[in-house]
Amino acid sequence: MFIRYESGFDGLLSAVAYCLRHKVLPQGLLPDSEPTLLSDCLNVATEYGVRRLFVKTLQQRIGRQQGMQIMETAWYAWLAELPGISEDLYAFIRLALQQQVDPSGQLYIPEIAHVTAAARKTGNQAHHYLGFLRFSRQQEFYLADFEPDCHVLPLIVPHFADRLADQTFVIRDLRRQLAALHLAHGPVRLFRLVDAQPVRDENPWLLQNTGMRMIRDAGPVADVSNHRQEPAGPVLAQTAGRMPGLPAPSDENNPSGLNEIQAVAEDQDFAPLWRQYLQHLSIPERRNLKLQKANMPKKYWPYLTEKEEAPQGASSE
Amino acid sequence: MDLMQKLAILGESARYDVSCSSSGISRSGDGTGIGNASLGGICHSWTEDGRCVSLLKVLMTNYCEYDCLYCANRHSNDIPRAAFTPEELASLTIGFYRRNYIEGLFLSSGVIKNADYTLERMIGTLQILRNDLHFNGYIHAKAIPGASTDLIRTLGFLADRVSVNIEQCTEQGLNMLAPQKTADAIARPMLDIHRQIADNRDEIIRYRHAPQFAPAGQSTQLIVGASPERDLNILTMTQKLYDQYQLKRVYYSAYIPINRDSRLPALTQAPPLLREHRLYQADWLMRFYHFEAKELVDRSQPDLDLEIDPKCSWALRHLDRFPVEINQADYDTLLRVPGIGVRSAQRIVAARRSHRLRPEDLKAMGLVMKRASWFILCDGHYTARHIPDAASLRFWLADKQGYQRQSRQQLSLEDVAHVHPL
Repeated sequence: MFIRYESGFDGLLSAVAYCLRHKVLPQGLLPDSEPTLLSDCLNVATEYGVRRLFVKTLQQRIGRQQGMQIMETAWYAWLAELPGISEDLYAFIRLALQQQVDPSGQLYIPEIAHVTAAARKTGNQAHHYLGFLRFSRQQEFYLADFEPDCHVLPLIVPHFADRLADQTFVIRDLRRQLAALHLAHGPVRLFRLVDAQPVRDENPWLLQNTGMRMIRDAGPVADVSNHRQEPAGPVLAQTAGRMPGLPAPSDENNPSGLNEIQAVAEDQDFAPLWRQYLQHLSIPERRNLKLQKANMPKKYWPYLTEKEEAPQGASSE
Repeated sequence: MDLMQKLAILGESARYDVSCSSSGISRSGDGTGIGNASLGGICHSWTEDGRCVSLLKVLMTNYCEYDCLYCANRHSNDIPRAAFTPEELASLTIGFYRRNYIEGLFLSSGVIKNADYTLERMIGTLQILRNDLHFNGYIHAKAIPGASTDLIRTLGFLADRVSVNIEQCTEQGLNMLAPQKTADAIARPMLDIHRQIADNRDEIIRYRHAPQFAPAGQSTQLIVGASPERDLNILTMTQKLYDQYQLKRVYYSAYIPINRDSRLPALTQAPPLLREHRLYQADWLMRFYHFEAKELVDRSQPDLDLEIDPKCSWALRHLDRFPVEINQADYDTLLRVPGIGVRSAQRIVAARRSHRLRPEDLKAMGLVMKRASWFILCDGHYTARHIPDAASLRFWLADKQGYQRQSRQQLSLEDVAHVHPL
């Protein structure tokens, strides 16, 4: 029997919960988004609070820290967005509950190896983007773009919200058309780029546990207009400007009481300074482009300030 | 001189300081300022020589009173000189930090007037960053050899990591290459920092929110290849630094010939990059694999083998300890097997509790079977094709690519000297 679930991590967990409760061994777990001609399909509805249910069960049976660790591994593996991960995740969770231990170390079991590898891929990408994300200063906020393979936006935004707490910034995932808006000393909101609608995450509880404060925007979103989605490229003051809560250009955005030193700093364009610094930092006698590419794969280069060509007609020579 | 020019000069002058890490402390934003610190460190970019960039690494000034032979900034070199003002440097750091170019600041300086004056200027910059701008990111400060204890104390409460470059591990080497730096001038600040860190740990036990002195610890740097020191000297000194001074890291910097001097290697000599790589491998073995320096090098073999990595080299000299049974050996024995790293050893020990490992499981567990198969038994089975003799095993384990790259480099420079112009 095949089980169909509503696309999303909660949908998958609901399917897994169904199988475990009714002791069903499914031939496959398929998301709703893919059409299927199979007749032997059972549709499972998404339960409310299914993530919390799993975490509680795992923590009760295995232990507080290990239980949470198992759910985080499963969630990270899900965020890798690899095809066929659903069946592996089902095997992973079932094994965890049967053996009452974290199965991540048993890599000789193929399903566990897939889940661990997917989780590691997501974790590595998230860590890479903590370093490779580059903000550029727009008039009244900072903007960063990137195109990750895995859905790492919810993993990196808490880090920047903590680090740049007094800064209004927008991080855009151009592959998935999502954007995260952080207001200075304020909350973080996730939006879809195409229509600036907030993303209503079904159950933000797990995200909260990893540190992200998400606010469900209950009220009507002001200024929503059907503008076309911007293709990947330079800026979009228009897109971000329509997100509610972002300060209008005329505002003096000085939340932290910048003193004179910092006001001077904001006026300069730091991208040429950064390129200049990097150019003079490498030692020619130790040149090793292969090592550079191994550590910093080319797929990260498009949005790096230092790899962009200097703008034409720039005065810095 | 504008900021771009200053940054070019002072960034270039600081590039031979290889320490780059931004790891060691975990600190979250405090809500009033800007910045946090990540425990494992974050790499923001990589230079064309393959080194990681995670901090804004600059000299406060490259004017210097000293005339160390190996240094590009030495007093007798005629190069453009510049100096940052504390305000400029602080605003540059914050500007880069806001754009996520860097984790923090790495500040060193050439010596103006005397060590104390230089250190006061550096402290001025750090005070602007920490106190006025509420910067909570990572700061690595270099203490100037010969500076007074009080200034080092002030520096340690502002920076996350403090370091003093040892440069040479023998006093003769130091006297030859840096005559104005005495061994005592370097050792005393290191001892000061070590004592302050230990005292601070006691303070924090008594009062949890006491200000922290250099929470990411102390590190240092040794130059490799500028003087006739052997790997035995270097590794013995490294062991002493880790055991007695509790340093977090020792860095090795391959000597890049810049200055012409009869006491230094020739300008045409290639930097000893492979030797530096072997030293780092030995350093890792000492820190994570519980090796001691005397197991890796000794008087009969005072240098590390360039052709083969130190762990394999040790294994070849102690073949009587192998093969090792995976399902029974303890953690420390597993660590000694070439091809088994820390993670693989931990996985094996954890998986063994519930499962008897079979030969076909090992590759999935992360072992490098190309090396490990010669040294292990799994469930009684020898996993390699046949039992080799020492000579052919050495051939299998040799790092041919790395050695060829190094020899090729040296050969090409020597060839240049022999070409006769027609």
